[in-house]
Amino acid sequence: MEKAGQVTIFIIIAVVLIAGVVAFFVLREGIDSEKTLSLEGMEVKIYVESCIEDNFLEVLDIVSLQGGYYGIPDKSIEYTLKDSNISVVVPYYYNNRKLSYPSVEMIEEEISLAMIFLSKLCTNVSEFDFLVKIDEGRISAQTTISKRSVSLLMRIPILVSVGESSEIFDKFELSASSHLSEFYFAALEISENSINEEICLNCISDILGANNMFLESTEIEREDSVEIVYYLVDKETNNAFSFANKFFLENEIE
Amino acid sequence: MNKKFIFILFGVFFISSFVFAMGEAPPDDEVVNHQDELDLDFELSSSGDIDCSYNKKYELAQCNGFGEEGELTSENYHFENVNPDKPSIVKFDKEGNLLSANFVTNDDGAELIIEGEKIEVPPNTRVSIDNTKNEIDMTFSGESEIDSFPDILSGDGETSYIYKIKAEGENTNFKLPSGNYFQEGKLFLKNGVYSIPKGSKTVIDNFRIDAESSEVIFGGLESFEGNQVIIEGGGFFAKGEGFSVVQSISEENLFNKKKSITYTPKGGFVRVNKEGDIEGNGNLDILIGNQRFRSINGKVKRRVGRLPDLGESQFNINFKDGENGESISQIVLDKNHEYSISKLVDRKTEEVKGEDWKAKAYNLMEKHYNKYRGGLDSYDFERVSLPEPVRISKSELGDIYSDYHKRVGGDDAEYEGQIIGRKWARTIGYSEVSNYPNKWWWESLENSDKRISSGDNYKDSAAIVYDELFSSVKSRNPGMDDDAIKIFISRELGRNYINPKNNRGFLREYIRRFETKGEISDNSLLTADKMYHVIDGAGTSAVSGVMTSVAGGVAWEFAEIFREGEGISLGDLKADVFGAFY
Repeated sequence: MEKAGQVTIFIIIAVVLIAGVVAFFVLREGIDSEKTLSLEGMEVKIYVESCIEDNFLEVLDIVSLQGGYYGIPDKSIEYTLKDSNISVVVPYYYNNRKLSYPSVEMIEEEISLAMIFLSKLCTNVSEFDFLVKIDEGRISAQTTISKRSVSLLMRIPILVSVGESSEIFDKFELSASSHLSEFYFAALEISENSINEEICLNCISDILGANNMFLESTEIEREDSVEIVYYLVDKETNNAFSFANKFFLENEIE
Repeated sequence: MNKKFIFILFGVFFISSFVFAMGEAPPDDEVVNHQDELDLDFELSSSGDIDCSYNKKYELAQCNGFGEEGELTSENYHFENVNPDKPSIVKFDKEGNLLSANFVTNDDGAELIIEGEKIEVPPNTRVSIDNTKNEIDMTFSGESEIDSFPDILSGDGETSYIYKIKAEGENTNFKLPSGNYFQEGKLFLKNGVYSIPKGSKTVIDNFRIDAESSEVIFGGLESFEGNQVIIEGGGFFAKGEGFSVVQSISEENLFNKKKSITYTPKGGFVRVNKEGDIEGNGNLDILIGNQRFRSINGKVKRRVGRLPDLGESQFNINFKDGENGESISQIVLDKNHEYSISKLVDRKTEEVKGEDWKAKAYNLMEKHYNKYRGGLDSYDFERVSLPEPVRISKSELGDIYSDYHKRVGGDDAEYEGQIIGRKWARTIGYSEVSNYPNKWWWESLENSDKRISSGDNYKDSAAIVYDELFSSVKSRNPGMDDDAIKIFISRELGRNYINPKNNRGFLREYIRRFETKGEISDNSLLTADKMYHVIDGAGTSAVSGVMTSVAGGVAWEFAEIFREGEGISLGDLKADVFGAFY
């Protein structure tokens, strides 16, 4: 009776071990599936990945330059870069006596949407002399903003068929060095210090010093308000992050 | 015998010559009464080698050429310790009033008496008095100091003397009675109020005060010790702790009202307000135009308001924080109302490295726009051979050709159009594929020959073009300078665009603004004439406010209505356009 029990335990252990080994190889195959891509698959993957990477870096710069947006935010000011006919859209981080900045999640979503939108530029696979199909309807992206970096996980289902063999892959992971997070929180802090229609000047100075940034700004007078467009600039990279604060002048000082 | 006679004769001659010489030139310490000598109507005496004379024609007494230890005294004046190697002159009128004086003190300095008041003058100081202007100029060089200014010049007396002191040469440190060092430039004192004349750059305690565009006036330098706030370049200047500053900016275009500054003794920042009250709370409060700068508990804050007219000058505000003044922040406001805030201590490291950030941003956005130009699947404009537009209107942006449209193809969603004269126009649209609401780019329309292929996109692009056109482009985009624009947009597109789900906030904001002012009501009739006015004018009327806020579709709808000789009331507009969303 005791022996029978021991045998049962050994059998269970053996089954678990075998299942584990099998699972390991199965999963490893899945995880390492890209390593097992054919030359053609690798060619397509490299092409798409390179294109995505280019887009990603550009999107990060644009999102930074436009205060966390790739597109046009609902409440924004369009401002022409000095001495040029190029303009950027600058979102209000403080408007109508309320803070109105996007959340980190919103910026991540913005980057993800931009990457999905731009993925069209990376899916022109007609040049390949073998069959490549991309399921554009199932393209997805997930962005994570971290301190000093932004990472992207894109899913672009791609089918590569050469002769009778086919392979499918979809995973593209990228990470880029970026001060987006630092910019964002500096902009937040500056805006939060601007409530009550006041700008805390030495707070700004401290924020800039702590982040190795400098700040340029332009003020635009309206009939009933003053809008200040800020450009935070990283001293090392010269990348910029813009945001605007709008101050109403109801209680204007006489 | 003969020799003896000659010897005696020589001796007599020698003694008589001596006696004669003694009679001709009195000793240096002998006082000469010029009143008797020159027959003056006032007392004037001198000692030492001074040459005085009276000019009957001009009725003035003049003394010049002060010699070693020369002194000149009258009833209300006394001059002494004049450098004999430098030119010197003192003039009085016939009644003994001082007209002018000009001399340099010697190494001992001098204690003059002017109008009965003692004035301490440091060594080697050029003194220039013009009593016709009530001005006393002193020019200092090198190290010198005085303990006090006479009441006649610095007090609250009835005197109207202006005390003008100048510092010249390197290493000049003139210690003022307040203990501060005046090192360079000009500093005036009148009735206890210090000022720096317009056009001067003055250095006090190593701080440069630039009065280039306007006079800078202080309220005394009694305890000029702190290092808190400096406003220069046409503004006023305060220097925090212990520094009492009162008044004022003389140039109307810079600061249209007199402002006053007083200080609080407990450190912190100077207190500035219109009334000059001492708040005693250790806080800063400066008002410049409608800009209020203040400091509360060490946080320097600026209350946003309309900026002063800075003219051609730059307006610098420097904040030096902390007791030891390690951290100095600077704000630079330029005439374009741009300002930068930086730490002075970091200034060197803030030099642009490599590519300027603006150039970098420009290249980035240009690349961004170019990427989409003609790319993807929409936003194509075609320069087609179209008949002349029905209506040409003038706008601040140039001619507007606004009422022609042509449908192409059989699909209602397809239109073609043309925009000319504007280098860039932004297009915006919704993508059914991605549901990404805000994809956008710029389309070069200058030499465009592209076809609009998507009505939906065209709708929005046109709307944005209208938005650009009718909204206050100049203020939003100061860099833009467009000549003309042609817009062709369909009524159908206009109708589409007035979908209240779209963002109508801009229009609402405008309507409400004019409603609030009582310039527009629900009964206000928007007519074709007003439509023209909208396009012609600079957006000053209520109607223009409405129309300038109209983004494309509504404007087009109006254009259609107006062309038919009708009008629309604001009430109908609100009901039609906004419905429940207004």
